[in-house]
Amino acid sequence: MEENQSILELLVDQTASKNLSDASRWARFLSITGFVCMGVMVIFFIAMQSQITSALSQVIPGLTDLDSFGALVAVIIIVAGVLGLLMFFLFRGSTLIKKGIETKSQDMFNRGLASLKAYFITYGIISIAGLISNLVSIF
Amino acid sequence: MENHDTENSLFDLSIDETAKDHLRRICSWSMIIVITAVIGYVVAIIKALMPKTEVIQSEGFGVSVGAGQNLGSVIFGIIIGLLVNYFLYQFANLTKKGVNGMSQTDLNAGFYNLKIYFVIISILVIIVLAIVLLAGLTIGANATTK
Repeated sequence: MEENQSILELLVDQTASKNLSDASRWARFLSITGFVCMGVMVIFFIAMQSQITSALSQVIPGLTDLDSFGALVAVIIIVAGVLGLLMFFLFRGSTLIKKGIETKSQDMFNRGLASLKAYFITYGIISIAGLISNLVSIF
Repeated sequence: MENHDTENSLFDLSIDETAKDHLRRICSWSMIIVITAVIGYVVAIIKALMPKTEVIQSEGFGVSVGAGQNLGSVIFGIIIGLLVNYFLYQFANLTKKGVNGMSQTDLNAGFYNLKIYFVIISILVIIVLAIVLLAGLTIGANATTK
């Protein structure tokens, strides 16, 4: 009975292994690029802090430089936090899936899929939030 | 050689119940991402057809803020977005079919589409970074010559 089940099981065969390894490699590249871009963005905001806060105070009347700075820091923390989480899940997922395939470790492969799932869930939530804000901005 | 192949397939990783559950959830969320993206494109077209710019007056200075985007750039963005999301949709659809119908061919095709999805996004990211780098270098060069 068990033998029959294993024959009928879906496998990560040579084709699937190759495709998943390639996908993991590109996903890993994306996540590392994401981390680097995030770092550059934070450095840029810190360097241009005074110009951005004064521009914000000009665009939004009644907003002091201190308020603008506070708003800027809040936005940076939220954006960096969400993007960092997204890139972390993608990095972890791609690394574990690749390692799982290389070492033929079922547990590592499953943990990689769990991280990839977390990445797609986070991405989905961000997409829904983006769509809602887009819809709200129309009206 | 034949023995070697058989041995390899015996030691292949399997898509067990945990993996199947993860894959089903990944497919569902991928579909959600595709649907929200398509609705987003419709919204983007509507926004592009709306009035272009509005001027915010503050303490005597007129600050022009772009409220609408150029229709051409919106359509360009939508074409690229549709291309990327087509592969995500194919991944979700085929992988779900493969897992539910126990079809190895569909599962492999699904993983192939996931690979293409990540390849296209990576290439787009490389192009965007190259453009940003070039723009930065041009601005820097102009600033030093002045």
